[in-house]
Amino acid sequence: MKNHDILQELYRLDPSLQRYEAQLLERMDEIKSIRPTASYDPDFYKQLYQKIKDYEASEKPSFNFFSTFNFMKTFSWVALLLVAVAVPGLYGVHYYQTHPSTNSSFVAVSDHGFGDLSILIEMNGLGGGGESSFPGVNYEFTYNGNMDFDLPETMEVIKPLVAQTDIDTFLRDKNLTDWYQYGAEYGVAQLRNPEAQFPCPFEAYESICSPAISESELVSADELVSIFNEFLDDHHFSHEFYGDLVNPNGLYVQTPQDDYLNVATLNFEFLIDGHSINGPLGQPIVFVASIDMVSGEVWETGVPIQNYEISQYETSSSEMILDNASVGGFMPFVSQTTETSRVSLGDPEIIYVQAVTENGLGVIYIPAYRFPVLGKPDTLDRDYVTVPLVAEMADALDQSY
Amino acid sequence: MKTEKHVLFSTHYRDYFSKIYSFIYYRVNDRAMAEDLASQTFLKGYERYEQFDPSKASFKTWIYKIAQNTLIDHFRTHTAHVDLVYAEEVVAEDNILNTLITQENHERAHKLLKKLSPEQRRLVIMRLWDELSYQEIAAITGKSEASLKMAFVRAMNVLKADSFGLFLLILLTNR
Repeated sequence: MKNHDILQELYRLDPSLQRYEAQLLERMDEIKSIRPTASYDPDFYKQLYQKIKDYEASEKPSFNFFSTFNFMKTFSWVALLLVAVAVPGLYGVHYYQTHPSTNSSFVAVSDHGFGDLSILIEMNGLGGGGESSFPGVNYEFTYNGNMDFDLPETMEVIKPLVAQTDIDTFLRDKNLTDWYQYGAEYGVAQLRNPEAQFPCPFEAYESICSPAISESELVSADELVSIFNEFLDDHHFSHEFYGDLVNPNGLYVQTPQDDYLNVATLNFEFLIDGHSINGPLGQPIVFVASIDMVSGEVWETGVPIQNYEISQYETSSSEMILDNASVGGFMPFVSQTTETSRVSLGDPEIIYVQAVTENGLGVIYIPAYRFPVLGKPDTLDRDYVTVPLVAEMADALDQSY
Repeated sequence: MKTEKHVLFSTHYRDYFSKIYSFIYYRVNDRAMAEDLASQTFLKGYERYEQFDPSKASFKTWIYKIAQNTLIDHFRTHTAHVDLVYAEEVVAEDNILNTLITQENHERAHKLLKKLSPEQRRLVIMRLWDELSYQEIAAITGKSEASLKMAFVRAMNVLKADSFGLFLLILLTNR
């Protein structure tokens, strides 16, 4: 992956880093420069391949009925029978779990079901951790619209649960089938080049089995989105979870140095209940769909998890929302300087801010207001100020600066 | 006649040999040791290939995980070799970094890496040296993609802050 691609990914997570592109590129190059040269001995490559072949020859099949192999074969028939009986019943459950247009699962847990959220401020380094891009400049944000926010007494905090969709299963099965037919991704290579051999000669992998796509073969963004929509329709998957394409001008990031030369990457805004999931600076969190431009097939997709737990938390007061917003919300400014630049904020919209929980093992979505920055000064590194709408997080943030 | 297992594994071997060898070499900095550990990795992979479940992971992340476990086992029993990424497993970090400074004479880059926490350093190396995606690193390390992304953003914030030139520029423009 090239530095440029890594940086583009990085900017989606933290747009403020874009200002430091030159510095970041320099640092990345420095770190890459100390990567040891790992050229291997071609003889070793062949010897190990031979060793694997020899290893296979040394594996002696057992004909004992109770050997593991035969036992597994016997067991698999029994299992198959059980599955044949059970699947019709289970299918309804599976369908229920994997077709969100009618069956997205939002399970309510008790109030404050995810514990004390104030700890997330500390865990994620959000409170008091922000600094001005330009040391010596402080910011005070003011909102001059209707100050009386009409919010319910409690807000929903959402926790995504790990769930496999039938799309995951479909794509993996499809890839497995391709492996059997052609071996890994060479199925597509053969569509383009009937001469592509299997197994592909190691030395000529890039030139024969995975040649770079030509510019005339590139597929337009609209067409790619249409392919993806059709794919989701085929799998009865609701479109409600994704919004606009985030990278319409940057779909074709693959280069001849990359593995998947034919694939375009689409980054979609990730939505829940019509609200976008964002980072602490209001930048959208995206999910990715990869489409093979030669075959016109969806090759990989990270469609959002469909099962969620929701829990109610007390809503922050209007005063606290404005207080938090005035210093920069989730990422307050902590410059010691007395020089203050005043910046106006536009009308807020409700979003969810993604925070890491459980010592980095999971995530949680916190309801928040996202205020757009109006007339952004050149020295400011953000387009939005995001403010938590959960009272205990807002209080913790307030105490941190 | 070749078995289906052998045909499939041969394809994977060809696809991933170079990457796995490099992944190991970067961490041991020794050709003979890298060959030994790469052999162990692929032979273990072949031996356990029946356990590989494509519905749970791609072959790439599966074989990287085997390589990583092989490395960890190695460092638990051999402390003499240079290891940048798994240093904290068995060897004092300063020794590792100092050894690399002496060996490669890249003090500046090592000082940069030293500013990062062990977790951030491991992640930066996996992104920049091994060129692994967040999804792949998550599968190999068992951490969530979201936490890895946040850790990488923090690491980049640490690295970008290390900029004396920028500091001078700001001083000058503020005058």
